[in-house]
Amino acid sequence: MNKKIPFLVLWVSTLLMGCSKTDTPTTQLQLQWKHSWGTAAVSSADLNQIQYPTAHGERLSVERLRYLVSQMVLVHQDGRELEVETPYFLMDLSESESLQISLGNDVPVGDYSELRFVFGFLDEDNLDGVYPDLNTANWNVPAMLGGGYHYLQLDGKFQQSDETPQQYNYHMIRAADRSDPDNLILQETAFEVVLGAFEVSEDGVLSIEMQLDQWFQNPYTWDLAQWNTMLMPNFDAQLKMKENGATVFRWYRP
Amino acid sequence: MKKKLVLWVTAAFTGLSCSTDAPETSEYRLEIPEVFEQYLIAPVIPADNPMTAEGIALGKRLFFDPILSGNQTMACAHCHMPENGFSERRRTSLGIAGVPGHRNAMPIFNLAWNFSDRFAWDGKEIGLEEQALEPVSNPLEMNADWEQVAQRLANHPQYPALFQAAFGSAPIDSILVVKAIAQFERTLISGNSKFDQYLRGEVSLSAPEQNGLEVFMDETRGDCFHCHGSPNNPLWTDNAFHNNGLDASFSDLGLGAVSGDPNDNGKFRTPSLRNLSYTAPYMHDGRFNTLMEVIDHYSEGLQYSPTIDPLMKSVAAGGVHLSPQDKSDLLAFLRTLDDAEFQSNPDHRPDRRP
Ligand code: HEC
Ligand code: HEC
Repeated sequence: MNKKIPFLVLWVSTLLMGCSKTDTPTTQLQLQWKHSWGTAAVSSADLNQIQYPTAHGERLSVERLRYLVSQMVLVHQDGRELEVETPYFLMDLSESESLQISLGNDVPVGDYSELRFVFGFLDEDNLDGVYPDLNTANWNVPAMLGGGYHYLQLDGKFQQSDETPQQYNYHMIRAADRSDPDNLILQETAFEVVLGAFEVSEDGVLSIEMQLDQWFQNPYTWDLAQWNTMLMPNFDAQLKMKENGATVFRWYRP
Repeated sequence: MKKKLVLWVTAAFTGLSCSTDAPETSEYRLEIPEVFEQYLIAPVIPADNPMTAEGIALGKRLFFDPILSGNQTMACAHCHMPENGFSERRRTSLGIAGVPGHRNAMPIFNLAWNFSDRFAWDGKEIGLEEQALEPVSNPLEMNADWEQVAQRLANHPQYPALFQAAFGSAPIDSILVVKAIAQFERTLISGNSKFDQYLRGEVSLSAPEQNGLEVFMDETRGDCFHCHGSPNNPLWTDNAFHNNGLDASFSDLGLGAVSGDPNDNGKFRTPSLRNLSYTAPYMHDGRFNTLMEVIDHYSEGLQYSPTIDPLMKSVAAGGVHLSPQDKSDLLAFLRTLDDAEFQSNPDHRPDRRP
């Protein structure tokens, strides 16, 4: 996972085609993942406190947050595309090193029009058991649900008022309908995230924010009393997670 | 790392030049089970403690030798017995003074695949080498003085030559002792259970074992895989720390006492589910004697506490209430993770002394 990321074929070939940009300064580009609930920052220091209000009216804690993104691409203002060579990244809120990833060692500074990535794995990449680092991280999806990997693991507890808290496991995977175990119906839930214009400066740091509250609203107001645990085999819940995921990411603006 | 090994071998040679019959050190390659090779990342072998046949042989001898304890009556193997998956039958271990500790001895296998490198139930030991320092001087375990132990080894008729063969002419000290022991421990690899054979396509599972696997993997029934691995993670542990709902309040804070963070209270490292038939009793305090008691715990005995893992669902009802059939099938599946070859491996027994 922490492989060195040399530079991209596409880019280099464009350079060789004779643009005069060969002396553009480059930087080692890092991407930081930040997490928020409304206006509050969420960090590993807050794990376990039942404090975040959902749109539906519960409060919840964030005890564990892991998620996977793949196929990151930077699009330069002039249209050239830089594919990040590391094929996927697994972020873990409790491991600060995982929240700062390297997008490349020689990324030209300048203006870019978009950054895009896939949240989770597209079906073509969501192959069962083939990524040893993800297996070792216990990130797999059972074969009975079509195999492959988790996209999101958000675990904690919630409360309506002051009753004993209940657990929730908001785990996102490729949706699987197992009404007939011998004929699984699978539906892709990984989705593309596109973030708009940004600048790569000499200091080489970008920051993206995951707005955790959005997983529970917009467009679908999530009712934790109804959907809390055992969501992996819940086909409809998986589709709603995908819908709500659309507004989860944005550029971080401190 | 290779380069380093070569340098180090040369050093060992130089050290040996006065001794005629001592063998040169030979690099040892861990025998990695096929299913680990296929599914997992490479094991952890610290660059400053490369494995050698001589180091392993020395480590094994030390592991089984009471010379490391204060009154020379207790070896590591006293509490870590090969026939018990290198754990022991006692609920909590009796130390050298006959006083029980408060934890169940942990089994020792596949520890080179503990990528967090945090050992013991509560993660207080960092690194296998570091870990081995502790029981020797712990008054509740072997109660020895490391300097005295080193002296004893240096005055022993055989050990000086064995250390020389493994580490060259460096003086015998605690660091070399734990390096050798850690090398031996890294060779304790369990990867040939019935389930491994099933993964390799050599045997098939019975119907109950197959259903038991599904219970294990099913989020609406056992949901064990989120912490204990899966056919794609054949360590059968995530090596992470969780509160699996044993108690409503804690007499042993576990990770919380180590990290000082109350959010970690009651969390212990997930044990591997390999070799359970040999490693009873279960849990950090050995509270359960049988696997059925463990299954009953997860099915209907869960206790709520603020740090209970969110994966311990339906806690208000004590658990998800598995059917009797699912329980016995789950048990049948767990037994497929027993590795009889590991349990009886002659390489893991003390050598006969001349
Ligand atoms: C008196 C019994 C006893 C003796 C003797 C003993 N141990 Fe242990 N061992 C334990 C107990 C109990 C634990 C769990 C400790 C804890 O969690 O606090 C343990 C834990 C371990 C672990 C951690 C395994 C893991 O998965 O984290 C290793 C490795 C280990 N012992 C190796 C050794 C070695 C090497 C020796 C000899 C130098 C030794 N032990 C001597 C009782 C003993
Ligand atoms: C939230 C993570 C988690 C889940 C889910 C989980 N376990 Fe555990 N398991 C643990 C931890 C942590 C321990 C050690 C707890 C302790 O000793 O305090 C443990 C201990 C065990 C042990 C005792 C092993 C030993 O050597 O002492 C067995 C057996 C076991 N679990 C089986 C299961 C089964 C079967 C399931 C599914 C029904 C399951 N576990 C679900 C985390 C989990």
